[in-house]
Amino acid sequence: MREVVTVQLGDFANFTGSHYWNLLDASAEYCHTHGPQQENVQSHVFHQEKLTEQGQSSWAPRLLAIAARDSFAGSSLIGSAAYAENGLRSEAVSWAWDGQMELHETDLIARSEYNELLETEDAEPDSPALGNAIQGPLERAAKDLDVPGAVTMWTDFIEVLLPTKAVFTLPDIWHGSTSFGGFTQGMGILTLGDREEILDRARLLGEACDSPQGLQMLVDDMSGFGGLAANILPDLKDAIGIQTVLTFALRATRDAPARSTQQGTAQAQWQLNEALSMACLSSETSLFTPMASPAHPSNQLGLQWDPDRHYHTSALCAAALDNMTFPLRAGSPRSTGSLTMAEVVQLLAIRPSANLATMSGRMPAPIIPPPTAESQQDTDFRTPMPQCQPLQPPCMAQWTPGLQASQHTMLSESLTVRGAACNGTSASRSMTEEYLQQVYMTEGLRCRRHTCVSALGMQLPLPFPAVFRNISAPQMHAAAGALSIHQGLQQGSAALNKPRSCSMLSRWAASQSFGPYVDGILTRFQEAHANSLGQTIIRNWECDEDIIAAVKERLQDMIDSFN
Amino acid sequence: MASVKTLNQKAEGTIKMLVGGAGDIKLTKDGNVLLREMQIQNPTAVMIARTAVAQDDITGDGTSSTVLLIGELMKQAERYLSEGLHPRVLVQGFDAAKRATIEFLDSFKEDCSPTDRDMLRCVARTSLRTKVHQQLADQLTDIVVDAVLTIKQDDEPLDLFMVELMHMKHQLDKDTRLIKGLVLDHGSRHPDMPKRLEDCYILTCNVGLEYEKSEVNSGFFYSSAEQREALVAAERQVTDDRVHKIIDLKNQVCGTSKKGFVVINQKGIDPMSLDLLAKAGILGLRRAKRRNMERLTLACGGFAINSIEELSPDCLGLAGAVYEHVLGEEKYTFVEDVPRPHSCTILIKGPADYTLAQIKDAIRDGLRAVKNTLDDVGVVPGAGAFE
Repeated sequence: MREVVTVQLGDFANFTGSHYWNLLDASAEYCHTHGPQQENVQSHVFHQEKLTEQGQSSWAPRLLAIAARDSFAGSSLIGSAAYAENGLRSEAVSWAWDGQMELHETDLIARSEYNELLETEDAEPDSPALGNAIQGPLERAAKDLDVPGAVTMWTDFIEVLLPTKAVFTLPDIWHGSTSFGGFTQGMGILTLGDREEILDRARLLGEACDSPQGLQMLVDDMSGFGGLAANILPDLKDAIGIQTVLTFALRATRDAPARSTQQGTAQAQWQLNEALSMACLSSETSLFTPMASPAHPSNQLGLQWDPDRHYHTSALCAAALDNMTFPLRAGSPRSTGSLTMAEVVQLLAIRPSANLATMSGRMPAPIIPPPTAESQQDTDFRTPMPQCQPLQPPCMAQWTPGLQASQHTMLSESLTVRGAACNGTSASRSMTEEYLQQVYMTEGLRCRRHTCVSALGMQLPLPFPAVFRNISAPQMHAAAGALSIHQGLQQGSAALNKPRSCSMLSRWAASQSFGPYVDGILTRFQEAHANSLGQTIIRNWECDEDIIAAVKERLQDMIDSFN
Repeated sequence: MASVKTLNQKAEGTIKMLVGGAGDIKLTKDGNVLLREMQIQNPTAVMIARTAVAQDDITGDGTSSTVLLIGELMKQAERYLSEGLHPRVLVQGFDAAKRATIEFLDSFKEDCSPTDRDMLRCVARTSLRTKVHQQLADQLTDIVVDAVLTIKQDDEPLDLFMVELMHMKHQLDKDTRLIKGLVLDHGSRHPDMPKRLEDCYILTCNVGLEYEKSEVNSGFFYSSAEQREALVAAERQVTDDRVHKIIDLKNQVCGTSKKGFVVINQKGIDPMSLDLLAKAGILGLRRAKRRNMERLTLACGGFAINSIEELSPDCLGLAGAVYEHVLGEEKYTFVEDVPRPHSCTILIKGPADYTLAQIKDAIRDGLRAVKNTLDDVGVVPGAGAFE
């Protein structure tokens, strides 16, 4: 029950997805070894259990990923056995043809070393000797992924095996060469056959669900994939059998115009895309949350990452995503920490035409001061910042670019904290909840609120970028602090300089103050549309007047709704 | 482009094996597929490519021929153009040639009666032999012709969607076959549901059999756990009632006989409903493809219902056998021995994904070729080389 189907569209979305599924996998792995009572999570929400004929069970994500051609290595996804089965074998080829053949082969996209080693480990999962032997090389390979240029594809670091049908390749879009940067370029890209194929796969995903609660969509909205998403969403909902959709519009920091050297065109394209995406996608989904890794450098977090590398920025987005959607898979349906997707939407989407949300957070989560501390004001939060409200900016980083729920206009929020630490050890649920109550009182905000607390932090998979380099020793210990009380858990690998788990806090909020944000988007759209550069771009993207008019109308609706 | 196509044309011509970067493999001679593999920049080439796609959309075949023809015409045209002939004169010439050719074809073509099975087999075989090897082509010829004749209804245009193409990857099993009935790509989701039923009633419906927590419910205020339970139970009741009505119908028509009852739903069926149906000995499938709803009624009779109120014995279809088939992790449901099949399924078997795709493409082209023959009520001997 309460299953969630995930759809990923676009390269950055797929990068984020890979990290996301790795995180979920690490969490499941932890519960598997330490007993499910450690963290009361429902695996079947995002995953489907499959039983082989031999009675072995495996968990596959309920996923449909749409990717451009040549953007991934096929064997990494399905495993080399399944890959070989569909490889060139003479008996298979001669099955249907005995005449002459001409072979045209492109260079095969190689698997990363990490994947190769992973497969070796998986080959004999119960052999401890092999497990130990492979651990060292595996860790080194994971560390090597952090070298600039090592990771080029979203399959280079994925630990999860996906069924063949989980990935759909767009036949006409070649990764890196076909121009697909315009939102509307994706709207008419599918042939009838392709469309049917995608919808059929979605239907099968829906059929496997007993009672699906909704769809979560990760999309590269500032590109043709956004248009594709908008175009296919109504039919997708129908095929799966749900009405609720959470859209996470992922923006890679590398592609944002501030960093681009071609100021003029890139700027105009961004402005046009932003408006098209906001208008077309928000009207089809229940809740629209734009996401990008926080502005860099971000002293609030004390983390260190490279904003030009998808491997890093998508990891941060994935961590945020995992935290935000944690209530969807937490506990039993009756427990206080959990939420259904419908409840999330009801909480955060103010109106159908005012369905934006923002996300701010801290990774690792702020350290809870000991409850007996008398001078709260002097408590050092281990950051170089002067005392600030611990759960408000500037102590918290913004994961939604440009969109901030200011303190006084916040209407509702979903706050999730996992693995918060106190005094170097992990804080209990009640302690964390008490601390939050205090913070809420200090903030004095009157808004609808949902709180979800888990004593267990976010388990980090091996191929997670080493972003914790900058954290001072006490913080590091605190982040890893949750571990020491649990028996038998390995300390984070010294070789990787990163903890095995990390605490995290996120605030997913809706606010009345989004009006000016949407207004800005509309203004910039009208500017871009008015000048000749914008006109040229729009012509190239084959974006007709109807769409422009619809965009303006929808954005105006949204502005009015927020005011 | 044209030079690639020349090789493609011959019946014993070369098949192209395309291996992509992600390891995806295609075996094809289909011009349309080959065109999509090329990244075309030249605007004229783009236009030619679009012509080929249009050709594919309308007739389903002949893309290679189209490109060849255009290539040759342009070559000839170039000669005249270099001698100073005005392009408009050339275009007029093309138009005249087109009219003359069509006239000739009209007189040259041989009428083909829809009952001339041999002629249809010839058409199918010609198409199939260019795409798969002879033995397989001959095997598929009868399947293709039979499929089209099965779905043909007098006074109705031929709808090829009524031939479902299903594929099963199997290392050993050789035979692609025609099933006068349906194969669905999913099966029952309850362990106690019957795996095989004979002499069954088939209920096709588009009714929600899942508990839907209404948006309103989460806003209800309840002061005790009992109240909440009562609310949930009330909402549950709606779905339960629907399921019970179906079970009542089953009891009514099957009585004490051994007849089976199958429910095929376009919408969902939740676990509690599955349980109720299983206890009543009913096989229930959920989230069926929309096209299958139509195919089912064409094959089994009856009609699909959109609301539970329409439930009656008249809406039920019949099938001689409904059974489950498990292949690896996939489950299939066969609906066979149907009274008056106007839809059918071609079950394709092969050892690898690209083999299945190759055979599927060949069958699709063959089906279209036969359909075109019946639509045009005529054939031109010699096919693309009629001159």
